[in-house]
Amino acid sequence: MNEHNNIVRWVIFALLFSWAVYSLIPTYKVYFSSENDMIEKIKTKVEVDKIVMKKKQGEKLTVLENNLFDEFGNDPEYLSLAEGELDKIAEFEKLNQKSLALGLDLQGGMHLVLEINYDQLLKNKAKIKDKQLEDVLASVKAKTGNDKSIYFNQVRNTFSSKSIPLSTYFGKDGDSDDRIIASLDSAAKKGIITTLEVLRNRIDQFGIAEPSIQKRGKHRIIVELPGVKDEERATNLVNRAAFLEFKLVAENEDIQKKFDEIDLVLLGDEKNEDAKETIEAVKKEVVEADTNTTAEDATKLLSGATSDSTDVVLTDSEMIKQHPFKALLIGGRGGEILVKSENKIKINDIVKKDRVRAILGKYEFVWKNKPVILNEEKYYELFLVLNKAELDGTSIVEANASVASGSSSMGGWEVPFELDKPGGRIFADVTGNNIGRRLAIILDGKLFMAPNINSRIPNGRGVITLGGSSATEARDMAIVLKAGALEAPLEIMEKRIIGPSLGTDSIKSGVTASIVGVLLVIVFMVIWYKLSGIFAAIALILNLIFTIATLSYFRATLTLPGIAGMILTIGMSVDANVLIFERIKEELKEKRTVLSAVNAGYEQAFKVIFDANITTFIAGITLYQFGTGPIKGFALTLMIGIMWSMFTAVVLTRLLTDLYVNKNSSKISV
Amino acid sequence: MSNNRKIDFVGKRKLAAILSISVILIGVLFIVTQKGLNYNIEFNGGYLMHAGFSKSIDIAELRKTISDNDIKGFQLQEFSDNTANADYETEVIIKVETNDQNVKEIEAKITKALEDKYGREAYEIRQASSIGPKIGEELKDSAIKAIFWSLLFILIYITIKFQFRYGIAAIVALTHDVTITIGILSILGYLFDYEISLSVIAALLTIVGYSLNDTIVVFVRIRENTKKLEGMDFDKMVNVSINETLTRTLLTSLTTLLVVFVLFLFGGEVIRDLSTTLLIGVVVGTYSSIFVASPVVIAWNNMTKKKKRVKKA
Repeated sequence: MNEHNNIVRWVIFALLFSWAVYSLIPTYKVYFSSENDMIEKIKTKVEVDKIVMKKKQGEKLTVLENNLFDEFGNDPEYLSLAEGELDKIAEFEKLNQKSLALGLDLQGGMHLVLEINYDQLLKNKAKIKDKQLEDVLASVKAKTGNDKSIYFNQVRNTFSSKSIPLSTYFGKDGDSDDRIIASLDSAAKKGIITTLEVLRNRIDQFGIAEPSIQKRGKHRIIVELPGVKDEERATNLVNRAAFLEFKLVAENEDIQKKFDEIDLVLLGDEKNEDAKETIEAVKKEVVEADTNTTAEDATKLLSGATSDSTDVVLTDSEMIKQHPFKALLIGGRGGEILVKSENKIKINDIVKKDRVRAILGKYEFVWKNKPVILNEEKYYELFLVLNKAELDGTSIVEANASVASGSSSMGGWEVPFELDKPGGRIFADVTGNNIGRRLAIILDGKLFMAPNINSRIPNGRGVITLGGSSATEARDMAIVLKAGALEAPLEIMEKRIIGPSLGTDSIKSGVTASIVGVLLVIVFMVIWYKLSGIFAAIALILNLIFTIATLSYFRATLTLPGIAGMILTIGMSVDANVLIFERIKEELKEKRTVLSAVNAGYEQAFKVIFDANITTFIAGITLYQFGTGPIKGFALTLMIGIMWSMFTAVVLTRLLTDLYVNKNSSKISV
Repeated sequence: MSNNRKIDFVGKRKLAAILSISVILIGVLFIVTQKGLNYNIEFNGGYLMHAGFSKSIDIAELRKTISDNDIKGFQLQEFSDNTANADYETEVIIKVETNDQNVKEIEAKITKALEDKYGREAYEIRQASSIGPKIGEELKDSAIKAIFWSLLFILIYITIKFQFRYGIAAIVALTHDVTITIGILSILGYLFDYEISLSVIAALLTIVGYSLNDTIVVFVRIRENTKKLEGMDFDKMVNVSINETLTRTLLTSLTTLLVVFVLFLFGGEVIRDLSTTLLIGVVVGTYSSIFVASPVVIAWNNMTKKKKRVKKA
């Protein structure tokens, strides 16, 4: 029976071990392969590239950007990206997504806690802004102190104690206090949600792997930007007001024309470096090729599902040769232009070229805010729009998601919105002149939606119909529309910046401490328990491997306290083995055979191990609940470590002991 | 080590109680005279900057530069130990504690003072935190809640698995550990500028879990021996149980202490407060699972016995 159990144990162990190794491969590649330095270099190149662009356009640079420019701006190696370098970044990012994430304290970065500023919110919302209002709000602020949950109650009480009806300042004349408080409260709530969306939309401008923007409680947002080195830029980004614009989408034939022209320019650029005289010939060739393939292009752009399923006459490599730009585009089912996420950066690069910009003229490219997933690949939709905004978001007065009222809409959602008077007039003209075209709604440079203009909208009250879309989508749309006039001002409550060098130092000391810790414990165990000590040591190392694999697999974040937690579990996990070995020693005195002593020892010890570890686990759970970033990491590694230590002690050391006892059934060294 | 060793731990429980209570009293008295715990800016609100200068600078001059810029109540400490980064000649930590709303202002002033005096190129900000006072208040609140909830859950778990009196004994032992550790930390804080940080709270909760681990191993043995050694006097039986598990308690404490000590030595300044707290806590926790938890069970047992006798009489 024991034999049979052991076979099961071996199988379980083998499966788990292969899983652990498999989970650790990306982590190994990301952190230990030689590619690491190169990727860093390419990333710096991308950064320098952006800064050069910014400088050209006369934008103001931050201190860090200036430094970077001074350092590399004149270094030809850093000025342009070599062929295929962007691909390498994309590949690396993919791996990175699967590997162990480092916390802010280890890779450096910025942690922000933002809180809605009620005081400012009320001042913004007030109809009249006078001394009396300021006095009342100041006294409310003093009374509420840190407890935001009673803020609105205080507002009501303070106003009524001075017998000022709230409607003097807020809402409509004659509105009851209750009603005004309710509407202010809901404005604050919506404000947080709007800000959340605005920040999410904006923050990936950093190109950091895993920004995290979360709402905490009723009036707080927590932003974590790992790896961000430029604090100034990050703070600007968070503090800046949202910018909403309406722009017309280019018509189809214009889009085709621009695409072709870009291809020509790109081909020209390539050949330019070889020999000038061939340009004409190439152009001719390309024009011919172009006329030959227009039909296929059209099918590719407008009917095909994805590139894999379309039968294109040109092979991929020919396509890239002849249409360096269009080769990157894929036609979606609805005629949309899609780009694989790894090619996004390439397109951005092409669009930055002076000659391409010259071609685009009054047009510009914008990306859709969210990718679509087709066949498990991420695609981004690309739009060509007029670069002049017809209208901006400051004109929007109100926007709300609601269930479509018309009988034809079959329960779809719509977002009615209201513009102020001047905005309404402009909107009437724009919609009147462009019936049938699409109007792009762009927030902070990213397109959220491009609805068709069905008719002239005369009175500044428009409706965006979202056929068959979900409630969330409608709500998001309303949020975006209102983001133009961000209602809730935020203040930074907490800001932590960890420089990258400190992170590197922390990793170094963490690793040193782990290695020294493991070695000492192993030496100790082997001296104390001899052979069994070696078994325990093997269990210990596997425990570490399993813990790190679990962290990688669930994409948990490793922090310095997390490393400390792991080191601590090294010390504590030996406990399970100590309990077992001590128990076996005791049993040996009573039982006749080694085998029965081992069996009894394991069985008895497991009960204790379980009871004792559960309590540490309980402490771990509360710690996880209470803690912020790094502390959570500590709690998590501690809990995972405890779980694996039970497993390795009970399953693995057991297997090794049995293996040994079966061969030398007369003795065991504990 | 042989398991036949018999040390009369239970017999020394009065001595242990006197020792524990006096250490707790010293700690509490110390905290009272210091007008409360020495929290760091995470709890009190304020600004902290850790800067590394590539060239050696004069600390007195830096101090003057900061105070010349109208910044009051700041602390400046030079930072140098085995974990300091070799790229920097001088590393400093500038700290301003404030529970006003003007953290932002302080941040701006310090940044400007440094920039004007040394130039942006001369130093790197290795770490900077500005924390509003509200956040700190909430942290204190949730730290207390976290410790309270974990104690409560542990009490419930032990009551289910053992008996209520064991649960209470465990809680007494844990409270003992936490109070003594905080007391020692406060005294250390007075001597070496230690502060209660988030990491300290994390370490305290870990100690709660760890110390309980030891305690439960003893409890399980007592439960086993209650059947095995039936008829033996309860005090004696507890003593046998403690002795039987002693090797394990000491071995585990030793390995844990080993790694915590390594962490203290090599883990670096950033987690120094975590490792220090753990170091104290592991020692106190080991002591309490031998000298506090089980004696409390005995005391409870004796009390109920007396009551029974009184009833009989």
